[in-house]
Amino acid sequence: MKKKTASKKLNDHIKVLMLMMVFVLILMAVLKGPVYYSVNNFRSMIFQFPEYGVLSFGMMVCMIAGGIDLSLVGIMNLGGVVCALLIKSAGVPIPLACLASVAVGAGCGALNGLIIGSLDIPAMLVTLCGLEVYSGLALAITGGPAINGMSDSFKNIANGSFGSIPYVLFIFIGVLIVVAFIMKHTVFGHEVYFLGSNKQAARYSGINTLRTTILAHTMSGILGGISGIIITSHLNSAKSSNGSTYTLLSLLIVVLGGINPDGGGGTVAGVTFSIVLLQLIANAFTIMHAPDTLKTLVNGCLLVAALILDKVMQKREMQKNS
Amino acid sequence: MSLKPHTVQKPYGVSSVKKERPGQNMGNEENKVFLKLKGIKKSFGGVHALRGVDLEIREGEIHCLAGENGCGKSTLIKAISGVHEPDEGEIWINGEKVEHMKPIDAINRGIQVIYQDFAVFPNLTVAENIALNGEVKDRKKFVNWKEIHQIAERGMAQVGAELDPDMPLEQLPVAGKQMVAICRAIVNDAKLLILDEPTTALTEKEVGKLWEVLRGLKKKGIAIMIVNHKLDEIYQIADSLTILRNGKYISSGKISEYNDARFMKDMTGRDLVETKYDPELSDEEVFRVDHLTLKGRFEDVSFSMNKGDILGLTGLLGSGRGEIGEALFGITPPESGDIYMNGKKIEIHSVADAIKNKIGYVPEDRLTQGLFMERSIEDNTIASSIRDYFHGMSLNEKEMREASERWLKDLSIAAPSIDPPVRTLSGGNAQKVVIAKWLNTHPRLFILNGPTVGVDVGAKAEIHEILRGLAKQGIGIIIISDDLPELLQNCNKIVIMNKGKVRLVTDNKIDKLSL
Repeated sequence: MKKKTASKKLNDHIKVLMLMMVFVLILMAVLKGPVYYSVNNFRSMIFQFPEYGVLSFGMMVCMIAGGIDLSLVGIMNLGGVVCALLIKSAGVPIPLACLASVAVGAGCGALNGLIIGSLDIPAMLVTLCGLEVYSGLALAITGGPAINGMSDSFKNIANGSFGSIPYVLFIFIGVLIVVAFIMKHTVFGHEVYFLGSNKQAARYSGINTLRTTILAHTMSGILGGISGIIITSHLNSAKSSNGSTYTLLSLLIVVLGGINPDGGGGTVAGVTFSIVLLQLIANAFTIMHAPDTLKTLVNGCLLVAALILDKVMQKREMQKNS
Repeated sequence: MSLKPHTVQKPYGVSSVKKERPGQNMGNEENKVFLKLKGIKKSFGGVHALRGVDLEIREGEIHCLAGENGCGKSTLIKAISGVHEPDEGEIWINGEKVEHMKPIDAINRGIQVIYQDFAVFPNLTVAENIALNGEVKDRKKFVNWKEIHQIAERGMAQVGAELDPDMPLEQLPVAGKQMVAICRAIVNDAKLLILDEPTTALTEKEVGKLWEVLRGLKKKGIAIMIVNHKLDEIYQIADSLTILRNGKYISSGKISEYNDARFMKDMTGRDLVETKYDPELSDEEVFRVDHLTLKGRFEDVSFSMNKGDILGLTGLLGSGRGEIGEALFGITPPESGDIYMNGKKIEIHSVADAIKNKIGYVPEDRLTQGLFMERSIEDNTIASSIRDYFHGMSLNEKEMREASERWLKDLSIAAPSIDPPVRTLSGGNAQKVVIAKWLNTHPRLFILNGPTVGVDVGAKAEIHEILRGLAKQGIGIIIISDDLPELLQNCNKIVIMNKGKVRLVTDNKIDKLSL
């Protein structure tokens, strides 16, 4: 009885997501059983979702903090370009180049957070400008054409596997664990929730709102940098316009995953389920040879449905309480 | 018994009118009764907000509805304006019994409510705000700007307000916005004007101007009802008075039938003197400020408090009382002056400094500054002390739960557990959560700005009891409030501010006149 009320809403949301997953899995078993349920198919799914999955966690942190990070794809590509350039032109060792990508991401994120927090400009505007600036910077560095043909060991990061399990799955799980730990078990994580649910009350509670804003966006930037490494390795190519659909996709994921668009609510678990669910659906479309245009439509409908469902559940709960 | 189904055959929402005269025994006054309520009851879920309220308002009369916060005043206003339909009871308007009244029915009968936020449009001009409502109500498709100006000018002339019709409303002070709201009500043919706590955000001068305007309207035969619980203001303006307590009708009558004692007794249900705070005096100084100054807010403020003291800080709005609280908590740090805690000099330049020096602050606006409405009671309780639970690598969740559960019990917060969001709590319980948040930081100085605003009578007494207990433990307590009875009852020292300066420091032997 004791813990029920707090975890109830979370469970409700995750239950819906799981139900949808089960629905997709059963539907595909009926329609395309043998092809869908093959090791190869699951491997191909795993190769795909970590790059935008990691990105979505960045979006999640910023949205919980009461903002949004529209610059993530820009950060991802800038990080990827820097990483690729260092490996290819400067011959920097791969780990160091990857670290550089993460550092670039952290820098971009911190800059976003600084502007948002100190000048009180809405995150949506700042990060939208950020997207332009960081993408533009990546474009300026490459001068247009993609940077191709890094070493095989770099290519291996996102394309190699351990047995039949892709390396990227380990990266994704590692990121997931770290993000989940930070959000749940650290002071900073709780402060992000406080900041997102009421910025003024956070200030009046002694929370350093500027610092928390900067750190949240820095964390998002770091995650952008990591996904920059993954996507560059995956495509073995870095340019300013990779993964341009990921901005909206990551928004879709976090909202579908139960992150409150007004800030202050939602869980890492919900977002994780949402990432997997969307990958299952995307893969189903590929297997069914359905046109891509339809996928956009279905994703859009899913998002609207999730938003409506959330509001309806919220209203019902409010009525029960009053 | 509360949610009685309606057995009336008429379609819901259509108001029906019966031509009947209300009680004949009321004909002994020269003015006609405009609004008459009989035995109004209303409950929400299991909470009885109104348990049988009678009210009578006459044309050309200023009637004051008084009662402590949570007594059902706002629910009653909503019943009169058609927002809430009463579960039981009768509403008579102008001698007609009205059933199933909707807001539009109330407006058509001339009932206009001016809420505390005035419901005005800040980005529109004065003239637009006054006149546009009528244009919309008349379902006009096009806006006639000349007419808008004429309507606005006429409204302002009737009310006696002097405002620039082309000025955007956001540039007006609060009092100006209020005038616009009154003009709008008059333009819309108000016969009964209801003002919900109209003076809370006004300066003394503005209050005077408001009374002037209301007296003018009264002479035109308009019935006026003011919700207020400030005794001195009621004496200034009201002709008659109705007092509610805990949703119940307590008493009603001409203002001349009341004195301070009866008023307080009817409002609170107990005698004021009974519970006066009287601590043992001590020489041990807990907190002192010397020549504290923040230009434009307050100047040269000095006071000190000893162990066991509860210090009241009061003055009119704009006197600097709230600003001192914000300054001592580091929100807007003081520019100069010295602050001593337990005899040691401390510096406060930020909220972090204040917290480091064990100062807790319950802000004036609980909803926007004090609480995380969507977060659980537990989260709210540990919000300011969360760092204490970070051991080694992670937060100790068990300790956080235990601390929060302890406060739930110690402060008797009425909630099933620490898990529901604070949004589900009543005002008094929510305020206790804010208090718990600070007590969990083990403060040495605890500043409370308007600690019992919007708190019901029972919880108010409980909060006072908590504060007295803390003071006895040697925690310095500063209560900032404009609720003078509250201060007289709970503080053994009172600092009265005026225009940013300390006007009087007293050991609580003042009467209300010296304010």
